[in-house]
Amino acid sequence: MNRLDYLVLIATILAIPLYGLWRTRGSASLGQYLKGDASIRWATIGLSVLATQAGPITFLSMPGQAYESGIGFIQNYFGQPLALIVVCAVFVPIYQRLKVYTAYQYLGERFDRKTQLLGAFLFLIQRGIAAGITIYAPAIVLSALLGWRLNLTIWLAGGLVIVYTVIGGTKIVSITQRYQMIVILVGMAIAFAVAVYRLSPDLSFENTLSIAGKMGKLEAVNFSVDPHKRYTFWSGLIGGFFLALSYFGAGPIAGATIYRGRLAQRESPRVALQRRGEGADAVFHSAARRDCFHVLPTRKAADLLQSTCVPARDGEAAMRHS
Amino acid sequence: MSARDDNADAGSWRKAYGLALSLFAVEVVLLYLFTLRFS
Repeated sequence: MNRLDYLVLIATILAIPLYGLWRTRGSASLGQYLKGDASIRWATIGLSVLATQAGPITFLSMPGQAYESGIGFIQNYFGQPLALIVVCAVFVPIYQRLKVYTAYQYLGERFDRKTQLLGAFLFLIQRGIAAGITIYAPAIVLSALLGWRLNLTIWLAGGLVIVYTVIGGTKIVSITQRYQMIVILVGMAIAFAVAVYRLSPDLSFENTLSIAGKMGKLEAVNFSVDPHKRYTFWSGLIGGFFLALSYFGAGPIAGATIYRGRLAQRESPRVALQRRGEGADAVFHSAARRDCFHVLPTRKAADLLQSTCVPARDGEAAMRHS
Repeated sequence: MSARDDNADAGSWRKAYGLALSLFAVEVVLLYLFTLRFS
């Protein structure tokens, strides 16, 4: 590694989290800590969602898989845009209306405490295993690059993320992921340019693609309905849809990223002014009541209505009179 | 007034969903053309 490599590495690992800590100093309420706030812009949230999806595993394993068996696996992501629209249009408004922070809080209110704890437990087991791999993979690279012991790089990578996330909450994750994503995208562009530059002088870029295509590595889309084929447009669309629906709709970590995006949009100054408007109160609360009963068609609906919708109305009435 | 603003808000979300679906369709078409060209 040369000096420039070290500079980028140190800036990415230390400077970005430190900047995030500085930007989020003084964050106060539990709501802001868990969901961020309406000041986060949509572009930041978009990059944050992108960074959540494009972790170190993506950059370490996907090129290897593409080299080994072709790029057909990208069809697995075809269901994702559709799933995200369903999450934004259906799931998040329900969470938002019921004023819950996580999908498991919703489960607790819709069913009971045992269901909430079981869902949260299964999630923590699943994500704990996944986080282990997520930290382990880049720690191997860091260990090889820096010549440090693997245990040390694992502790450093995991520890740094834990410290700044616990201190800064959701907002710092959005802010830091934006800059991390910029570093990743610039790095990808440079890596691509270097790879093309270093091709054999006897081969043009197009010739290289043609050879890869003849070797069956570049079949990006396959509309076959043969169930024996592993990666097809249809399996990616259907399987990817439900996978992404589960991940973004029911997983609290990734779902929270979408949630705060919706929240930032819904709580814009115009919406706030609208709520203050004469007559808006009645319209808003008749819709809220209808939706509460719609998603909670049990006796719990009445209790939840008392605990969520009615206090909100009082709060808004107070705001209007202030 | 408020209902009209609410409709405008829903309209902007519909536009966002439409844009996302359009980009997705363009992405699939481009990838398919790429596949036809190099496979």
